[in-house]
Amino acid sequence: MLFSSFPFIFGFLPLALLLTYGAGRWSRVAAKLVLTLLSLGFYAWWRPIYLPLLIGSILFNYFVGAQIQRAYASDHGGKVKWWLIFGLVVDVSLLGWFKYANFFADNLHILFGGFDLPKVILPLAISFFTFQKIAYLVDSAQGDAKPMSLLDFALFASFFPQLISGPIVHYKEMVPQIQGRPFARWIPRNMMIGLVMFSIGLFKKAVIADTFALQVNPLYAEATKVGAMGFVAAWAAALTYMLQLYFDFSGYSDMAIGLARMLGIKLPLNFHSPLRAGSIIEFWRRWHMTLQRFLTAYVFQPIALPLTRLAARRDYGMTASTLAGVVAPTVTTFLISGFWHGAGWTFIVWGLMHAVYVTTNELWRGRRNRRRRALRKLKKPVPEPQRAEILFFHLLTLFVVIVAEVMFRAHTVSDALTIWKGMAGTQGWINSADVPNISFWLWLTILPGAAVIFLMPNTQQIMGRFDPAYNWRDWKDTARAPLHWTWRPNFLGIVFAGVTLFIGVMFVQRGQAVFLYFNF
Amino acid sequence: MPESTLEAIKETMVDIFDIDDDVAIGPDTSAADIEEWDSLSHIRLIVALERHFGIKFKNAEVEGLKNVGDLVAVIDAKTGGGNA
Repeated sequence: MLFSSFPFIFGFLPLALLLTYGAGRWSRVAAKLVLTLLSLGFYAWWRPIYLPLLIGSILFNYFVGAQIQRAYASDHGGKVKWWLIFGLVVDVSLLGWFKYANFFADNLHILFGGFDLPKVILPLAISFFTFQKIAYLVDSAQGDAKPMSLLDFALFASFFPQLISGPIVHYKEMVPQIQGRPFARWIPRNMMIGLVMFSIGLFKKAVIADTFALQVNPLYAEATKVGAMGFVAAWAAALTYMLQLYFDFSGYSDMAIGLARMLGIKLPLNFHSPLRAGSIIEFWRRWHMTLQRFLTAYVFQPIALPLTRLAARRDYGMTASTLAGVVAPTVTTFLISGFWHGAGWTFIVWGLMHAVYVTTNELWRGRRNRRRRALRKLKKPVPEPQRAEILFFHLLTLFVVIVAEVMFRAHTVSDALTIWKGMAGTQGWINSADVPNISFWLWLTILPGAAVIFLMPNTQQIMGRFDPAYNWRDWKDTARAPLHWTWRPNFLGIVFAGVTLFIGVMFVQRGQAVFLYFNF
Repeated sequence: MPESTLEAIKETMVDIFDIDDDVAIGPDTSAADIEEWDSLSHIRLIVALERHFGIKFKNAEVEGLKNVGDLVAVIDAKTGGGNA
């Protein structure tokens, strides 16, 4: 069931609110049970046959998590480690089988023949719920997750607003909230804030992202079919997909955060105006934030820390230190990120590109800092970047992201090459085959889309008065928008929310595209 | 007079991040206050502090450090003193 669909908005959601808060008047345990069952039903709506998989994963991780917590409490370091490794191996193998079996079989088939494997269908949300479980097991091994009832865990692991595509939450962010006294108590303010955030997210998805989808799909299909693309069409394809991806996934995340808030739970942010970032490192701190912090904590840091130590201890030179402390962990992190998104060479190339970007950014920054430090030591004035320079950094960041996202979207590496060649202008200004696809309407949609990204406050900034997310305080002073407006429950605010919701719902009627991140 | 843990952290930060010597760094200073304090530079900061104090952080500690105050607390606990 899509958040941006009539059965969800007019069926499931009102029912879920009514039953949860209804049960909450009676007891909190009843409310948790109702919400858990509804969440499992929400998942089963898609493909009921995968419900046992989700339930099995919940039971398994509850059991293993409890063993780890018990061992941690009694100071059995070895036991903690072995249970953790066992849990991680099972979780990762399950994901590996469903997501990657075909990829490996196909590539082995190309190399050696044989290895025929029937198509394994990817169960919805498995990439997300597996990562959430991994985070839970690690939190348990570090003493951050405490023993809890199976019901609390089942709700934490299946909570429908964040089940399918995140935000990927940690124990400490959600469990204390569902165990707290205000849970399932009717608080009109939560309902209001959640509904406004959901409406903004729905508008971003149904009105903006799905409009771009209508342009993106034929353009990319043409790259496959024709194998060549003019400059104009290639850029149109790249720009519209960048916009679609941002509005689709950040709109989804707004809806998830809004839905959770309606149920009294604050989720962490997933996007914070990443396309307004002035560097690629900053971009990655603000794009798909809950995945990025997962990869930073569990992949990047465990590799970077010992290697940086080694380099410092052995007095490695500049090049070797950089290779060990920056290049190796960054490349590994982004390769895993790419592979997590999908089993395909396009995602691997995409990951490598971002690794190169981030490494370049880090090296450049190190060089600049050394120069500035030298100036400071000599008591000379240290120049601050000028306006034009800052603008250049922003444009460069945008440019490299747009180029990489072509690879992210393309079906094959050679399709992406076709579009890149077109963007470089090597296949002419405009191809006759492009013409039917490049309408005036397309440019008319790109401009306002870009204006929203660069000028308007983001969803949490609009809702900034109401502590809109779990970690809002960490981000409230970052990436202020040129246009400043915050929502209030006055006449203008009510009209804004009403119109946004109404137009969003009207556009749902046009038919919805599946959220892009449901594929991952 | 021996330097305090906070001062030593401050000196290391001035060395790692692009900040002036006279910038105010207190227990509440966090990654949100220093533009360059991100997961990449965090590793360099941690290793520089390990070398300065002759200690070793655990992975979980490195991840849980949210501000300068946390750093001071963990380092003091490891070196066994508030003003060592």
